[in-house]
Amino acid sequence: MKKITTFFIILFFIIQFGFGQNTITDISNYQAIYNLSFQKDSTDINSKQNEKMILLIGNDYSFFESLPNMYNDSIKSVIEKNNSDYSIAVSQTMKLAKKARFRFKILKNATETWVFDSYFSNKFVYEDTDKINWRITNKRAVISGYKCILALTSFGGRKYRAWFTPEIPISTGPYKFKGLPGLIVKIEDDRKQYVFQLESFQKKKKKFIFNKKAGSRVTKKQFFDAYNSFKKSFIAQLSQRGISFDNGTSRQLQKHVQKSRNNEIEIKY
Amino acid sequence: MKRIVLMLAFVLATSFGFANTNTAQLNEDDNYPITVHTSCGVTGMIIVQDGDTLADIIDMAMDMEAWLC
Repeated sequence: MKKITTFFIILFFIIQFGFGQNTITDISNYQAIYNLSFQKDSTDINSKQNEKMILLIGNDYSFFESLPNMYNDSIKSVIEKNNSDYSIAVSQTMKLAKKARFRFKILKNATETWVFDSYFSNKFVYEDTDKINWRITNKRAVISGYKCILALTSFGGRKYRAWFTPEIPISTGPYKFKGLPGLIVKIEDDRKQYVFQLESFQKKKKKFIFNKKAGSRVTKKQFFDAYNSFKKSFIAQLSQRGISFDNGTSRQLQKHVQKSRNNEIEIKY
Repeated sequence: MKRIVLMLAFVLATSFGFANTNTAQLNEDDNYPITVHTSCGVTGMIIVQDGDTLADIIDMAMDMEAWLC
């Protein structure tokens, strides 16, 4: 009997440990806020917009997401707790939520990069295994008050210029960018359609959690294929999901979506 | 034997509990419409489907704003 009890105790811990690996928790030491300037329509230079992004840097991992998206998550949990009526909850959401174009959450360290992304309640988790190879140059400049060095790379079908600072010897940066001997202060693609620039850097203790089971586990290619196919038949896909719009606006909305989302940060994947 | 079955049930129940991260669903009737008014004047209608949580509906409303405005 003793042996059987021991067996079950061991089994219990093995199962708990196994499930526990799906959730990664860390506490930040630093918080960096970036401004992301992005051009949503590749054919229209006047379609540039800005969104604040947050990078939390912990001992083991860094965590990156849109600041309004982080805010929306927090109000979402408050609204969920305080409402039992869907209509009231949605009406409160529309009053309080901030516009967040980017829904991804990125967790990374030196060896791995995990991405959670979602659209219209379709949730995905994938590991991005693409390597980022840097070429460090001799060019120097002061950017956002930090002495920086220029490095070059290609990623997701775009060529990037990244300014990193050895003054903050932390090997991470915005989006999926990492692997330089200092924090990335500014990074932009050669067409300046995606420009991340550091606005503030400070000590900050904040817990962050990444749940690898928060969405369907897919490959990076499967995610982008699904996302691009969703965009192409946006109205039809939403209709299947039980979402409809005012009479006569469907064609106009489909056109709007295709125009305003034709210039993703990763063109090739 | 009874003890073994109880222990096995405990292990499986707690494991399932830890693994299950879904938000609880509210006790609402399915298939009823929720109207969403976006800031750019587009009005959408979400039909709540079987299995939709409040978090799912809120996500969809937020995405309507993000995608259409």
